[in-house]
Amino acid sequence: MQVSFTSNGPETALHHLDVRTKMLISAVASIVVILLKSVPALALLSLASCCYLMLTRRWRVMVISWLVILLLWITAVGFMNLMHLIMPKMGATGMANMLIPFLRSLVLVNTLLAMALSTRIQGILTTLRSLHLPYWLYIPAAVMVRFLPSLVEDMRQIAEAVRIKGYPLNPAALLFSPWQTIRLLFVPMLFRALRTSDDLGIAAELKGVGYGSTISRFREQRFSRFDYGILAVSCTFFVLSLVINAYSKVTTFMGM
Amino acid sequence: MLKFTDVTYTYPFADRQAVDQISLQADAGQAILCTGSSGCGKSTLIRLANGLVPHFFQGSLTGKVVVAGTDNTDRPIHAIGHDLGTLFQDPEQQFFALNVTDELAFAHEWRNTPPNLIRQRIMAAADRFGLQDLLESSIHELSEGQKQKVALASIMSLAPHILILDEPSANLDPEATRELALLLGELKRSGITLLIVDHRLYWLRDLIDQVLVMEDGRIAERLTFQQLDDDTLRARYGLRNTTVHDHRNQLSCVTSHAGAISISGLTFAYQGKAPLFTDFSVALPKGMVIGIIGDNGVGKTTFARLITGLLPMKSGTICIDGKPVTPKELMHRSSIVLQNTDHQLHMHTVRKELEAVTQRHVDRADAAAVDAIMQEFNIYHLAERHPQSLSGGEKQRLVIACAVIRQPDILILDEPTSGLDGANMAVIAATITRFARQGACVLIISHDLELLERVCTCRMELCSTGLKTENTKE
Repeated sequence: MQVSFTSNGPETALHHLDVRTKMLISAVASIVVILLKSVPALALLSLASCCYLMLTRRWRVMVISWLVILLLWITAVGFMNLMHLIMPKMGATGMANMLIPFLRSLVLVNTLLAMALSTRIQGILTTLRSLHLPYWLYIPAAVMVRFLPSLVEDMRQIAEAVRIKGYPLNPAALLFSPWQTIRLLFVPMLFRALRTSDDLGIAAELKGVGYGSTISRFREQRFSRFDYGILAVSCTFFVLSLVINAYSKVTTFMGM
Repeated sequence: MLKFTDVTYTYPFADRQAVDQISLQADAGQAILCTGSSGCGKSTLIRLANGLVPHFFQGSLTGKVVVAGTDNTDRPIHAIGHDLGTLFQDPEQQFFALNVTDELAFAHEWRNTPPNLIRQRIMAAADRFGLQDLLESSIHELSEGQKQKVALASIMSLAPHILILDEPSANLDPEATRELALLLGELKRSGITLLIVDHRLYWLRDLIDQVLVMEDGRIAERLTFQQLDDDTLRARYGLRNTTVHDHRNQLSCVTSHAGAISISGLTFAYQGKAPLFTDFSVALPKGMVIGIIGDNGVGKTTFARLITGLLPMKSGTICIDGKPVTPKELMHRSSIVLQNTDHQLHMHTVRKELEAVTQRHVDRADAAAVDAIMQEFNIYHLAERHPQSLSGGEKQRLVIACAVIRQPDILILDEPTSGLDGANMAVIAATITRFARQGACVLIISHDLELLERVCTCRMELCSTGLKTENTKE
């Protein structure tokens, strides 16, 4: 079972990785990308993270996620150029400079998505608990993660309801009738979100989430050779990208 | 044992009590039915029993609710859960995990049950409820009936002494309802206390020891089940029938030829799945109310989505009055009401909700029609209320009113009376009949035998091989 997406994908090697391995990779990746300031180093790490995500074999979700990041990047580039046209003093921003935040986001999204697509929610809960995080931190975190699939499912049903009522649902509708489109999508979404959060709170209470002093793990996961292998490969890429970064001409973006 | 003593409860910011002076006692092996019209306080009674009131829902509470000898105010909800399990009307409301196996294992894991024992209990629950093939399914992929079974299996695997069921038959087909009645009978004989809240009564005749009829938050009547056979009494409290005839097999079948709406060569499969329809043909007459019948997962809702243009066909043609129609035209000429009403309400008043629909179809309806339809559906007094603030039954009537006011050629209703009391069901049944008589083709996907008995004039039976006719056997 996945954490964040509603339809079941194929069982892959990534599903057999310990959740701690996936959490560690995500955490280290998020630190390393802050340190990296050269495009080749970030490109290498991005490529590696894309390969890591491909282990999930969830091609559709992957492509949609990458397209969303690309769209955000193009929008950012567009606005930066627009600002340069309006205020030439700001100076032009080269494509290479703009690539850095894009590649950083790509690495983060890839590692998080790989975890979300291949991890049981109970695995995340028990791991967060084993890290001795306080109850008030990990229960809301887990409920928040659990909230995502319900949100995705609600969005699908709301979009369907809008189509049933005969309203168009496309970028043109958003452009020419923005208030109507926003109302059609966000009013039911708001109420559903409120109800879902209530429902999940009730479900968690009734199932005794957070109250047991010890939790058993039905799907026991242990560190296997595969975990050590993946961690070794990840470390290699992290170190390699840091080395490339050290020997590359560093490109800075907005001082970052 | 479950005991209420003079319980009165008011929700925060509410100006009247949700339940008032409730006293009841359910002993081991006893089955109590609580029924009454929508909004009479049945759901609050359940929340009081399982401890959600006062631990989750604040408010003003007086009196005492005792579960297995302990006052609910003296222990937290999860501790009450060791003695009492609750099956909610919307099974998704109680799922925390996202696939069936994980859901069945979830509460056990938090109780620190050894993994081997969890596995045994999952397999036992799967065997008992027929879930073997669904164990690795996502909960979002299940039909409503399957979700109900998973929720019940999850509760029963925890072996509670008291079981509370909120509208347990609302999403089950008649066969599954009969199975549920037998299963509950077994549980009752094994000493489990049952408190069942339901509008549908017929399936409970041999199970119930005492009936509580609620009205305005109070227990208005304490009866035996047989006393519910009194028509006057049922009419007074807006209750459903106690006897229902399954006349699905007596209905004539629609055929693959001769009908105002003809579907031919329909082929469809979900991505990566086996085809649900292969070269499927059927003709649907106008002026009739057609019950779409078939086992769970046979493609009833998919068929409805296909003929309203919500899903694209892989191949096939749909003709209305002999003329082929495009998917876009189908969206305009058909109307479908899906089960979850929350997703279908967008405006800030009931009146605006209906007016928005008429504005999209201005040539078909007008402002006077809005008033008329609100009168017909008994929601006129709610005209200025926010649609999302309505009760479940009121929302259901509103979304059906929105579908009807469009005056579509094809009207499809997916479980339109799920969770509705007798009076509201009668309102919807009357509208369906009236609308079909005006010349529309009305299709109903429902497990509600009482509704099918009242309104259906023919049936379209789907099976794994396609359309079932009188002469075909699967």
